[in-house]
Amino acid sequence: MKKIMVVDNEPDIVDLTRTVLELGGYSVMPAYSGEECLRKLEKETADLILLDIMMPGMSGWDVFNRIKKKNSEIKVAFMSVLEISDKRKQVLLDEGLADYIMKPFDKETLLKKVDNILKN
Amino acid sequence: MKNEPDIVKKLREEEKIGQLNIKSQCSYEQLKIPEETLHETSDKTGTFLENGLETEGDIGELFDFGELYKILFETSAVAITLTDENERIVSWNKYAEELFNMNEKELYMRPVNTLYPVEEWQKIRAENVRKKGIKYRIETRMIRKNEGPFEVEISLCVLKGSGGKNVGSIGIIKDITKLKTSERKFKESEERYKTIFENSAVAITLTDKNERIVSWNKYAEDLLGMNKDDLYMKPVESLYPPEEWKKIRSENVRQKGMQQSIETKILKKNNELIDVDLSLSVLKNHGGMVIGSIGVINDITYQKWIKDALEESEKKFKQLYENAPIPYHTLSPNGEITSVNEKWCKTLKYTKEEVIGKSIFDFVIKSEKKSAKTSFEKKILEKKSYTGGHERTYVTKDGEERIFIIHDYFSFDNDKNVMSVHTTMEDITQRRQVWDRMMKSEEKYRVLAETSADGVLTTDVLGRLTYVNPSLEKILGRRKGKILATLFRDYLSESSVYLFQQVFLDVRKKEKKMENIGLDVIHDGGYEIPIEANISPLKKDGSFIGIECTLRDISERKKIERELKQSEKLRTEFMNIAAHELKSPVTPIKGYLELIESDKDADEKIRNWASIGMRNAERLMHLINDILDVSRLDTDTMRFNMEKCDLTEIFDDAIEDIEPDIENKNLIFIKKIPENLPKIVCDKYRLSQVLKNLLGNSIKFTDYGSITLMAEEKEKHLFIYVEDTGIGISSDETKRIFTKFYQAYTGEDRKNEGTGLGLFICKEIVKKHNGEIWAESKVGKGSKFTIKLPI
Repeated sequence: MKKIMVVDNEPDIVDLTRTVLELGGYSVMPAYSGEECLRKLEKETADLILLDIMMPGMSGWDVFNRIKKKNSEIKVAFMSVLEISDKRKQVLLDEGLADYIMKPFDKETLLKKVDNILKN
Repeated sequence: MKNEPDIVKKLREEEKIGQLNIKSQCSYEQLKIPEETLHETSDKTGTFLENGLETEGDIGELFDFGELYKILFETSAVAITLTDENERIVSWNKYAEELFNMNEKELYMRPVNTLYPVEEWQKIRAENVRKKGIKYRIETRMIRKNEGPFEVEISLCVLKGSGGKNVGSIGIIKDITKLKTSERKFKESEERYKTIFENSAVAITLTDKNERIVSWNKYAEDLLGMNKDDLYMKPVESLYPPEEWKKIRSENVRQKGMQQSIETKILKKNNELIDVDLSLSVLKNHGGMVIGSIGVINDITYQKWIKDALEESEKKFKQLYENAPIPYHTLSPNGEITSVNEKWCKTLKYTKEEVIGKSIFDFVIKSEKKSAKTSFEKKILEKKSYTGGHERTYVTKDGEERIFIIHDYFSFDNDKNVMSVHTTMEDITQRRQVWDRMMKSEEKYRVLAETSADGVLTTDVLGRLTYVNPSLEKILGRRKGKILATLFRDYLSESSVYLFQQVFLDVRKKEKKMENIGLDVIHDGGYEIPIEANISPLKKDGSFIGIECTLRDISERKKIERELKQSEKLRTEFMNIAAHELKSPVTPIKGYLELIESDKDADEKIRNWASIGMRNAERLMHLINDILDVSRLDTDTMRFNMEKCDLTEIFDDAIEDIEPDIENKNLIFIKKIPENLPKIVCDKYRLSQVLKNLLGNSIKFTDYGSITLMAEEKEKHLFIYVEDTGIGISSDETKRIFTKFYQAYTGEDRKNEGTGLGLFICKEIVKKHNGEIWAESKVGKGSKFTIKLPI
């Protein structure tokens, strides 16, 4: 079973995402801040990290950069309400980002995207 | 002239035999012939007259040839020769020797035929004198020794002996060379008269004693527009209007004999009156009887016209001169005033009478008198027509000094000597006073500089400070005494020195002010202060002596600029946070409602409630997005990612989005997009948003029929149309629908909820693309929205 870490400072969103993903047959590891995410990664690993961007303290960008610096194999996808341009999105994908998922999401879309990421 | 009238024949006859009592002088003066012809003619005639004088001694009798013969006969010696029967000269008188230039030896027994040219001898022989016995006055030529043939008149008489036998002959020989020459010349002269008469550019008429025209020249016909029949025997009176004839009569020409240059008018055949100059001369016969008159008529219409035009022009010029708004004087080459205009008098307060005839230098200020005179004399010699303006001070009658810029224009006579000098004067006294006052106010400027809030400095040619004001002292944090005479560039940051040097050289070279130069000066405390400088050249007597520079401390402005940038960043950040905070709660709401909706274990009633909640969560999300967009537009923080886009991609994205709604409402969707539409520069996400909005609206307000999406390239623009068969919008609403929060209430009940922001956002987005958007609609028929975008 693939393991997905969901990082968001909003517990309701973490729970919702977890529910949806578990319905899709994934195991979910929650984290409620950027710092917690990095701390957990020191002990455990995951196949995919779904990362919120705007969080108090360490932002999603910071977390993404840290993980990339460690040359980690873990895939990272942003989940955000912020709209970004195709150009910016492409830059991020080139830097190693797995996907950019818009919130609010619907169940089907989220599962489809996660499936896709983990298939590759 | 054919068919000469009797009088002319008679005249000619009389002329020939020297009976006509006209003196040649008089005739000449009356013939107003063109000057060149006159010169030529008079020259030749002059010779003739001189010769005549030598020979005959009385010019008055020149044409009196009867008298001439007599005198010639009386005063001339006659050579007499006697020949024998063999025609050899046997005796002669003394004059014969002289005539033939031979002595006794040469003449004695000389065959007489050797005294003639061969052909002349034959002619004499042909006269057959021997038979006739006597022959008078044979005109022939004889030979003078060493000189050749000369003209003689010879009378021959045969001497017969007893029994009628010829024993010899007597020849009486008269030298007529001179006479012949005179005669020839006379003929030539007459010929010349005739030519003049015929060809002269004056009309000449000849009248008989009854004042009828009997002869005329060709020009007379031309001038009067009459032919031979019109002119011949025409009473000369009828050529003139009655009052003019009266005038001519009053001159009493008959008594005076002649009258020159009567200005009168003459009637042409077509009754046109022309101005002429008439000279009359009365012809008298030997006995003093008037036999006619000669009229010489000169057409002066043209001269008169020119004269009138000239007078008119002179009048105009005079008026101009008099009324010119600037002082004007005319001088003779020695500087004497010949005329001044009224403005001159008014300015210098003299009357014309007081100044005309006086030297202009009497009115020049004492200090300039000498130099004015010298320069004037020099100009007269230079012979230029204009020498440029210069300054001159004159003194008015009441002693006031007035300064003028004067311009001298020179007129020349035919020999290129200055004839007169025309001077225009521009009174600059007042201007000069203002200038002087301004110079005095330099003091004021110093005060201004001292109190200026901006830094002010001047430098010398090398860039060393020659003046600094208190503000500059403050900006630099250095006292005047310490920095004067040091280089200004020493107080500039390293990066500013080069720029300042460039500007300094530029200002010096182009002699032009340079503005808004951004430099950094170094405060005594070691930190840099941004300044903005305006730099102008300083000049003295026309040459560059340094720069003048004002500089303003712009640290405050820079700070504000920085803050503004910061604030823009902050606003964008705020908008992002707002978006995050507004959207974040919707995520779990929507998410859980969806989970309930799709949960098969859940009660149907609960699932139904969840779906109502879901629909409203969607609406809320829509509202949040619209409000965020409007806020971004208002705070100018909406980001546009402009790039060249393929439109089909945008269309497909929008269509995909609305397809479910079309199906739900059972509407027909028509797509008319031509292939090969050009790519345009746009933000595809935003443009797609506009299309979704327009299509969404159309679906919302259309219950039956179709929705059409069309595009075309036209007039270098891309046109996108969204058309529906919905309820339509009233014409006065079509404009208002694009305003913020405007809701089109078309139905009685408001079942179509919306934020009233969508079309406002559409309009703003299209505007950011330099495009236009508008709506056309008919209530009950449908609406058509058009987007026009530049390609």
